[in-house]
Amino acid sequence: MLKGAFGQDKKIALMKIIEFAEALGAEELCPVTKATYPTGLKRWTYFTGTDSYDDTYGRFFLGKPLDEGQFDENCLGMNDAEAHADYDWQSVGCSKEFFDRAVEFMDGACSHGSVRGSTCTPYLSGWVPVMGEHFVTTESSNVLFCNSVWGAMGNCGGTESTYWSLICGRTPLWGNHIKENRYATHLFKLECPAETIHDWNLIGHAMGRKMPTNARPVIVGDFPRPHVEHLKQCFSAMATTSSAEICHIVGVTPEAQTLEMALGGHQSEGTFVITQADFDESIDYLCAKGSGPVGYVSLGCPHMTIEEVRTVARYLEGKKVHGGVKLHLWMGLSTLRMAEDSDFAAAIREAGGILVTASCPMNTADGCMCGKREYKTSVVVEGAPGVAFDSAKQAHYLKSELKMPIYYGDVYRCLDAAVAGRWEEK
Amino acid sequence: MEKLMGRPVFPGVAEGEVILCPDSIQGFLGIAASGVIVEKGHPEEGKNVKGKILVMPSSKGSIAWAMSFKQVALEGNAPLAWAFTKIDSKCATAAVSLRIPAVADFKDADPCAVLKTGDIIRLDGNTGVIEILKKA
Amino acid sequence: MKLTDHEKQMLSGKFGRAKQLALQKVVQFAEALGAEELCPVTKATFTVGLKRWFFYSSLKSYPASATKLYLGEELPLSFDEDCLGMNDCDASLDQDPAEINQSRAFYDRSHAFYDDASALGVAQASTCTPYQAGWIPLMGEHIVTTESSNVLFCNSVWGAMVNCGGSESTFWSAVCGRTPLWGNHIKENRYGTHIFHIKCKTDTIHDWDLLGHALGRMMPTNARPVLVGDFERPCMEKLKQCFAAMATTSSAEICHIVGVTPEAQTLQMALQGHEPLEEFYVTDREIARSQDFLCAPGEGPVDYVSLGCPHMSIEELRTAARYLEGKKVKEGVKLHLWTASPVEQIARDSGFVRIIEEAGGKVLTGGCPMNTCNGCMDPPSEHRSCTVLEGIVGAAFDSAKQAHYLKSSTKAPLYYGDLFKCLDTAVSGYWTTDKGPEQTAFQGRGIIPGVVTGEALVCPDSIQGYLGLAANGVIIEKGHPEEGKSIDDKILVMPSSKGSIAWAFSFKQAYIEGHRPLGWMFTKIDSKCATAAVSLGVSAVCDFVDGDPVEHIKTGDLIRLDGQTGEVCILKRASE
Repeated sequence: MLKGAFGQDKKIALMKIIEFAEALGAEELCPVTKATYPTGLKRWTYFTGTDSYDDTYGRFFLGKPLDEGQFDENCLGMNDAEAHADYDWQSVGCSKEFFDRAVEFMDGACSHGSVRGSTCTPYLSGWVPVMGEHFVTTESSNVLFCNSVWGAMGNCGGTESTYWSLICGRTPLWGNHIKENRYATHLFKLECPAETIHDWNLIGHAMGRKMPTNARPVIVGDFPRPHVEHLKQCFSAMATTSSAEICHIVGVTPEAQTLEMALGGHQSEGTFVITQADFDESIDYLCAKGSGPVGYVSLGCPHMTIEEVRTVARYLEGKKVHGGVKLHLWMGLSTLRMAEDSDFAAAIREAGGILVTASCPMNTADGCMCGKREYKTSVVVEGAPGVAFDSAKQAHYLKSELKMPIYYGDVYRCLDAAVAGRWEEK
Repeated sequence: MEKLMGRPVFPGVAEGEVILCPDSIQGFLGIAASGVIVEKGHPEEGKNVKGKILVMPSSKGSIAWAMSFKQVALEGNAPLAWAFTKIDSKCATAAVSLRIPAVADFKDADPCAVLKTGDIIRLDGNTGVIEILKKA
Repeated sequence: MKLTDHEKQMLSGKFGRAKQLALQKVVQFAEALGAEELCPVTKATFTVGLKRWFFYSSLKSYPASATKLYLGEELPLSFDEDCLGMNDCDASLDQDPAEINQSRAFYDRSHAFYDDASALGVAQASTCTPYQAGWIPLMGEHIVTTESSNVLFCNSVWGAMVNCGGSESTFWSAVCGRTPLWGNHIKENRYGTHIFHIKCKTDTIHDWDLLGHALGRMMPTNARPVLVGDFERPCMEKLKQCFAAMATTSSAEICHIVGVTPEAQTLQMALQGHEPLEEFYVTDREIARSQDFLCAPGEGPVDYVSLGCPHMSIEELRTAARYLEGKKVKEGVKLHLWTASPVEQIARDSGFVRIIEEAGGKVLTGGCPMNTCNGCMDPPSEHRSCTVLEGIVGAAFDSAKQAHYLKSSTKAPLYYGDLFKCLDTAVSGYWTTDKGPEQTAFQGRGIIPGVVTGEALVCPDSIQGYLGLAANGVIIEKGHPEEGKSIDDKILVMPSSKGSIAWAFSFKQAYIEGHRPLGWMFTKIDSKCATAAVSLGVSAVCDFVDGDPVEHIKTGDLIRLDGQTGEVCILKRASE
């Protein structure tokens, strides 16, 4: 491959991976069989122009437009969070121009064998790495999920390193790709509520705030068994307030069937306790004070499971979203299909909710093409007097972006706000 | 002259002023394309990283960390060089992406404990050595 | 039985009659097993469309039908709120029922049942691979399912906890949210009992399909296998294929794979301190036995090709689309690719469905060949199963499960091979037998040195020495396949000598007249050939160790013979 036997693109990508490996201090590479990455228009696509996917993505990551041909054939590549929705782009706030170009870009990626999943939760869409399988991804909560829940092997990196890996099929054998590097370093004892999905969202946010640099936490305590929804919510919040890439949970995750297994023979470097007080501190940071009008309510960060969609459909039955409110439910393409086939979508739409894919409030954007420098982000919330999220990640990040009050609470409070047009302080 | 011994991460030699970030810089919505640190509550909030040597423990936050710095670089506001107490995969991605001198994995002394904002240092990305030329 | 307060309340009828009856059934089930406790179930998959047995209960609606059949009374129905129910592989699909020889009436009624179920909160994915549809149980999570390969997958790959049961027990559990704490729901019961050393080929998804079939055939009753071996880490596709086949030929519910599955990170962990009861070796010979069982012998026309059992992954659909691009399925051949509807969505949005359809194939959801059926709204004698096979002349599958089960459903030959062979068959309309790779090089013993290159003349039954070769070098033996041909400048290929002691002399005489072969080879030397070889002095090789040249070389092939090293090779075929 380095000699160019498989084409220029693979040669350059592998050279970059080798540079990356040397920067890390790794001596070997390992084969990558799963990847997720964006494929549409992004803020940075402005820099190389937005004529075509091959031109823009190629020049940005390889220094040349992409050649025709498949990305590494043994790698299942799927698109990650984009700046727009796949179908209902109108409610998302971008222009038709932006959307049309983004779709051309996505199709461009597909011509290289990329698959359209349009989700930050690819594990819900048939992208299933098994224990020990090496993956790359541009979604930090996905790194945490696949490392922790399945014992698959991935590091954070960046869009750049993910694309290099996607093209050449290799990543440095370093960090989480090596079993011996994955043992837990710090204990986190849960003495807080740990029952609902919202509880686990706060657990993740609070843990991340306390997380020492480079820590690999292991959660211990006496709590009801969390499910896929609880953990995806926990990990997206944790990835917001920390750089954690793996989180063991004793009795739940495969590398932590016991505490001893999680620690891998090492001494723990410290213990933290998560209490209601930590929850209160997180809520204090994430949720604006008082009550007030809302114009935008968003659920699904990370993207919803079909069970979460069902919960919303049931709760909205017989109710109507307030006339001045836009209610978005974000999910992957495959989940949208199931929601429509199951009539959950119909019930939600009947109440006035909108199901959308591929993106999320903080990723929605417009601009950056046709010579226009301006790239507006979070366009979906423009004009709302207040916004409400059930995701700590959205609430946390958008604090620095938005001027209007940002409210944060569980899915039921958010739905109540969507129906009332108003967030009520408890 | 005090020396800090690390591992070379990206080649090149740089001499310049330190901006110390003891808690790193948040990648997403932490640094603007202009080079200004916009992360709320950051000790160097409002300072511009252009031409400075960034010293931090490692990366923080979103996987888009490297990309945030790349955009800073593309706007012509890149830092001069950087040092990480311990390399992680987002820092390494950024190092390779920005191609400025970089050093990491300091064993004996933590640069985040020894250096201060305003110190003048020489950072050698070929040998991994940081020399303090003048204390702030 | 030790019951919780919630369970006692449910048994008293507090949550309605359906839940009361369902829990009663689960308690009876537990007592039959010898379990003392129940555990909460948070995920379930079960079939929902029309089934043969619904005829016996009711065809009014899904709730009426299911409650009558499984609970004994027609009742208002609700499922446990904490359980994500999803529908399993069924008889109907999303597209035109005529495609699978199903009546519109059956299709409509089945879909009405689907709608009833989704109104009750059952998620619609219609798949035997719910793990591809966002139905993700975590390690230690208690689940129920009506799909045996799903039992194996979730137990083994994720350490979730599930027993086989049946449609009945799965339904009761989905309604009341409980299942007996027994069998695989208890960690201590899951240890490996039998070790299988994998010595066969394990490169492809097809290899793992055959491996699962062979493992199942070798599996002792109640065994919990542990696979050990030096193979490349199997991906999700290889595991799902292996488990579907294994569940066909055995009752295995959990299969540890050392270094791959979470409860088998080491062999010790998989065995949990127990001694293995027995050890087996799975060799290529066992694999060949499965292949022979699954694939009809010989070759023949095929008009039905089906892929996707278990349902295809998005990566498999991509592989198929890539392979089919630019090709056309033969007129009159049906090519079906079965998958879960959420995966079909991704395949559609990725452009794979369009490519497959342009080639003449169809991506179908909701079922598989052996589940296609019609009837059951009529008396049971009218029920027809495996309807998609009706009227076919021959079928090809890439799934051991389909090939195995459907043997009893049709008289047409059923062929079995990997995805690429099946797609080739769809394009040609004909299943060919695999000829082994052609041998083109042979190693013998060089007896008369010299390197010669020339055209072969093959005499499978030698040349009669006396009155077989004329002095002008022409073969005159009556009935000889090369009768009338001259041996001049040819490289003769024959088993050995034939006939008279004057054999060598016939060739010598022709030689004196100026007619001789360029060189010759003998499969096995005998004294007359040896005499002739020394007498003529032309390059000669004999006693081949790795293949009989008489079997492989054809008259007219261009041959190179080295009488020093004993090497013979075919440079170019006469047919090229």
